[in-house]
Amino acid sequence: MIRVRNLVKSFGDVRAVDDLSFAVGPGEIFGLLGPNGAGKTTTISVLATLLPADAGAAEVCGHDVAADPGAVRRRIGVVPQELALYEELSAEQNLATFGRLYGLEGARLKARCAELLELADLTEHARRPVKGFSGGMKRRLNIMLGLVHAPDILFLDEPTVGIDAQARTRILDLIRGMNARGLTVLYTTHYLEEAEHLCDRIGVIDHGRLAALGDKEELIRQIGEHDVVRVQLPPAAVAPAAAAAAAWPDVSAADLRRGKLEIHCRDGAALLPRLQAELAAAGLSLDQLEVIRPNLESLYLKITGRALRE
Amino acid sequence: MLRVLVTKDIRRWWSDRQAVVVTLLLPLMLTAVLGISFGGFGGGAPEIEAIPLALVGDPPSLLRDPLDRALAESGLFAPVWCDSAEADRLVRKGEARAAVVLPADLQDLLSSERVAIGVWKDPGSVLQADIVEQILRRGLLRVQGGEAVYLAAWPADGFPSAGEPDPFGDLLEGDSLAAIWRRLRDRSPEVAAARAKLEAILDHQAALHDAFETSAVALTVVDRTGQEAKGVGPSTNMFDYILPGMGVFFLMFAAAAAAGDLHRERAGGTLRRLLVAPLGNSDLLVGKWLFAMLNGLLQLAVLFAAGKLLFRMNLGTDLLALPLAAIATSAMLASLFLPLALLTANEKQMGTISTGVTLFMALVGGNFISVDQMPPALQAAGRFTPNYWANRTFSDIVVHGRGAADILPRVAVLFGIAAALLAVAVAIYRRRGGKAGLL
Repeated sequence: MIRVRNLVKSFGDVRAVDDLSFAVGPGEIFGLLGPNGAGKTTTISVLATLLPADAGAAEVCGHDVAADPGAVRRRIGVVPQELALYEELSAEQNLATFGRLYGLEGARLKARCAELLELADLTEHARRPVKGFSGGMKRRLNIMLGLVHAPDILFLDEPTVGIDAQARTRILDLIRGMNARGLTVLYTTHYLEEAEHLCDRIGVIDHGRLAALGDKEELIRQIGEHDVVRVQLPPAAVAPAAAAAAAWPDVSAADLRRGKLEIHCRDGAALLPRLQAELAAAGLSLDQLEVIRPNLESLYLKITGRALRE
Repeated sequence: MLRVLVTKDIRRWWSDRQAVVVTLLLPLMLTAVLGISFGGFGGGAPEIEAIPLALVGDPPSLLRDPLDRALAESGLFAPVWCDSAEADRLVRKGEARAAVVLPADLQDLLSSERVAIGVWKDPGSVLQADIVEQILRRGLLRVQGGEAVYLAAWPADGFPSAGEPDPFGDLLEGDSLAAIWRRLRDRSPEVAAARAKLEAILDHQAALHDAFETSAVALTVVDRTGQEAKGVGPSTNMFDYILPGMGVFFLMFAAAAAAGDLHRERAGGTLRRLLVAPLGNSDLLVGKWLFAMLNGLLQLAVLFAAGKLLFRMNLGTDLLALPLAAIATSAMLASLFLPLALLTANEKQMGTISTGVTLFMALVGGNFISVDQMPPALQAAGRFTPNYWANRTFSDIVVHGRGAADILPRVAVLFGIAAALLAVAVAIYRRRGGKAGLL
């Protein structure tokens, strides 16, 4: 549904998108994960025909975004990062306005508006001016406006920024529901948990470049990340324990960090029985132990050297 | 698509009570305050005192009698005939608001392109003196119009020119009308030729008389009961002078606000959403232009309707003229600020610049003070402001009673400015990369 090849877009001296390539299949939820300024919105803007690319190529639904922008626009829906609503108008008027811009009229338009209002749980508020809506209601309507013409692909540009956890859960459920009906979604976010739980595949983007691509497990495999078993021991025991653990099978490294023993291994849970037995044999008591599974946060830290929410 | 865009903007405007008040009620209220301050609240009868007017010259009774009669009947003027020295003194002392110096030679009035009527104005009474001048201009046009009609119907070859042998010979000689009559009935070819010549001269005299009768009487612009005289003459209602200029002035603000909506849509995020909709390349711009035009039209309609109903202002007699001028003016002003909207970075910058531009153009273009009252340099500059043409067009209709056909040249200018500015806006839009340039 989406094919991006060596895409480049610069603003002055700043290269916002730098040789970016990825593809999104039909019915997929593809996440572009990256911090603010990584190039996510610029990528969506190029794909949505709002900005011309400096180099490279992009196709959406088989149409080249540069050569045939009109055909692309008819097949896509865009939910901008900021709320893009006419606050003076009602929810129904907002939907009807954009529906008409896509050629919907009469009973078809009315039915589509009613369907989307129902989907967003806004039927009761359909005729109220949007300016009186809560943040969550506005966000839901914001998404519905991108869907009014039943697009094949929906670009969602950080649609949950600035809303509470409950509203976010509701929106993510909404997106899953639409995806279950066959909608392809390109979802940008800098929230790790959203990308981790919502997206089928994730592209990690930083400084306009694609740093990693795949599903969660693939990403973790790609960087060779391991479990970390962190153990609190008496200070004098930490160094000898680290030296001993480093020689165990399946342990890639063992070292002292912030006064604790950290053991890097393929399977932390499998290591625990041996660890307990070795410590008991050495007469050491286990004060505190934790097993840290690799996640996108650690993945991202490893790839970019900085936390995502910076 | 344009219909959807315009409907959307109208709905947004209508939902915004503040915008409705600013667009429709504020201009009306401020104009009312100004009009009432000038003593023009409509009670039916004119509320302006008779304007002291000095008349200089010694016209033939053919002109002077109907002129005196017209001035006396109008109630608008308090005329006094005097010589030029006295007229000068009266005007300088403010005892006459203006002096009208009639030409010594009546023929100059009819045939010269440079009309030899002088108007001396009292600078302390600009408005009243301007009324005198405007009425005179109108009267002169009628006289000259009558002469043009006469010349078309009776070419100048009907006249015996200087040095030409008397074509009548002894035809008109005689001691009694009966003898002349008998000779005129003579069927001979010589007499027939002379008779035809005589008939042409008599026709000329009759036409000349008619021209003066109809033109000079046109000075009777308002009668004692406040009813408009035959034809349309200048009204004495101050709103006739104030309201069109103020209407155009406020319309400039409304047009700037409508064009600035591009910035509001960008800041509110809706512009990005509109730009990904399958719209034509310039639909967004033309949609904003159409909305601004309709908005301006509504503003003018409300203002003029209120002016008529509340303040008894004169809207002219030609039903087409005012709507035509209003459409042309709205179209022109809708285009005026679109280029600025595209060249400015945000709404604040746009607001600051458009306010400055509006105030400057209003001053120079004659929204506050008639351009005719300005120094020549400013008068010349005023003609380069778009609002000048709108002001003149409304003034032609409301003050001078001109019809749709008369204002067509000015309307054409207004539409021309509208088209040119819209083309500039589209060119800027395209030069800045079309939709990408709006983001």
